[in-house]
Amino acid sequence: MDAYIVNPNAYTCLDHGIELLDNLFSGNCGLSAANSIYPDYFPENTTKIGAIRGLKSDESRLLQILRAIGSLIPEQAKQCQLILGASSLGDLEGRFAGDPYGCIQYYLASEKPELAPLYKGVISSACSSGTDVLSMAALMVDQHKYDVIGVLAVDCLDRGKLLQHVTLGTQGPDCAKPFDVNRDGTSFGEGGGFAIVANKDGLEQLNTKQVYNIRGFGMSCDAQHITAPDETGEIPALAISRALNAASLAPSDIGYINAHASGTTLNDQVESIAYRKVFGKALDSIGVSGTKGAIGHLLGATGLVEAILTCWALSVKRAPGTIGLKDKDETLNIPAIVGGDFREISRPVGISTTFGFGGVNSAIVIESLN
Amino acid sequence: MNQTVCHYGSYATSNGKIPVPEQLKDKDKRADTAARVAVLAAVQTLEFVNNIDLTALNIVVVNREGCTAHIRKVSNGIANHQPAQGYFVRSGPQTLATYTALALGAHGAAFTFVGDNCVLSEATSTALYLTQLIPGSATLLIVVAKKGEADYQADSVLIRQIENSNKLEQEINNHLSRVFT
Repeated sequence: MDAYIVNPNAYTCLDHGIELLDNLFSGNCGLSAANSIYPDYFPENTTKIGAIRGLKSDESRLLQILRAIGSLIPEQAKQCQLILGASSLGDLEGRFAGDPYGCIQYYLASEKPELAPLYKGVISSACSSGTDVLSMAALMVDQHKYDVIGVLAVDCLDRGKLLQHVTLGTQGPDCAKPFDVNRDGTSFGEGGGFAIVANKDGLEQLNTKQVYNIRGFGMSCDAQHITAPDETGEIPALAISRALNAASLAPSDIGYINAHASGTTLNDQVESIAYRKVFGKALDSIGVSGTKGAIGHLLGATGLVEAILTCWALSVKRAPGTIGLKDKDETLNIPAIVGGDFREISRPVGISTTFGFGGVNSAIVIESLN
Repeated sequence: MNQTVCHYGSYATSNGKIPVPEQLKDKDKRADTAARVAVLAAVQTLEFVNNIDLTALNIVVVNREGCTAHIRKVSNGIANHQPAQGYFVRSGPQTLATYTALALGAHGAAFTFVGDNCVLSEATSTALYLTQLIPGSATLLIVVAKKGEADYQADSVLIRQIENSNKLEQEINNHLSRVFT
């Protein structure tokens, strides 16, 4: 596709910027105990979450996180012709409850007035929102509807959202252990990222060189259940194979897979089946890792942050390990890299996948042009 | 040469009343009102359409408010430490698209543009481009707007094959933007 990622940056509980990747290589974890973040609400719950520390409780969490991400938005963003957001639900209490669109609009109008007129909407596809906003921006610049688009993904883990996920059992009792034999749930978190997506004309306007090319994307919907995934892996595999087809690539062309790797029993099982269906034996030569054991599952922002981490990993030609993974579940038959370890990336193309409530599956293929 | 085919449909509630769509009755009956309206508009649009490849049917929705009734129920319980996880998992704006996919058995993309008339042009372009991306695919674009206190209206268009996407984009925008007035 004639679509390139420019100046991507991410903000998480562990760190921001390229230092975030360095932390992953060092095996660092940014998760905190829930009772240290919400001592009044969860006094005894020590489940680990990827919460941003130091946020005020009497103000919208989403708004405070937007300010943090906003500090990372480059000057070049003023040359965007469109700003698209990505989020799931944002806050569940207060003036912006269930309204991340309104929160982003308020933030831009009050603190980034030069960008506010460019902002038109938010892509919502649950935990695939961040992947899908990148894909839709790529589609629009590729088709020359716009030359330069800014994508802003953000989500927060307020006390109410954590309460729902603890009750659902999707939030594990400790920390996420993706692809581990002892995995028992994910670690939710918060944060986000910003990136500029431009076509070649847009790169000229930005006076920027090509760095990361979005080669293609694929999306699918299980259409089976509002929360549970397709256990056969067929429909998630469809999204991944659509992404490879759109990129005109064979499975053996992929050097790195940034997996959704939520750490729930069912997700990791379905995801592993889907990869094996698409990649076959080629999967064994690809480095696979996930980041939720280090930074948490960033909900509607997770796709963009993980795509950014994919860019950075490709640019240094090394895939970080999966923090939280110690004892691999061999029944999954997936070459996941354990936490603290790394793997050299021999081919400069990676794929980042996300899956969300409602059965949405998304995959995006990125090539580093370094 | 590709042939351009567009089918339009709509659904509106009156006095806030809305049934559970037939297509969801044996799957999931707990959709928020906004999601039900989206499903019913989709069903109406496809009523007389044949030969749709459901594996490659995309659902793209435009809506500003999201699932306000479900969000209210979730929010109300939080202060008292009362979870409402059943409503929570059905309260994201994406459910307008995913419930529609569930009702129809559609396995293409399913997502929602949260926004009003301002984002309609992007949604329409995206729907057209997605339809071009995979041969034989189709996209159902649904615009859902709240009317007054309790009522909703949804207008939708099914796009199959594209010949002149610029002309079609204008036609679709003109048709669907009426839902916001």
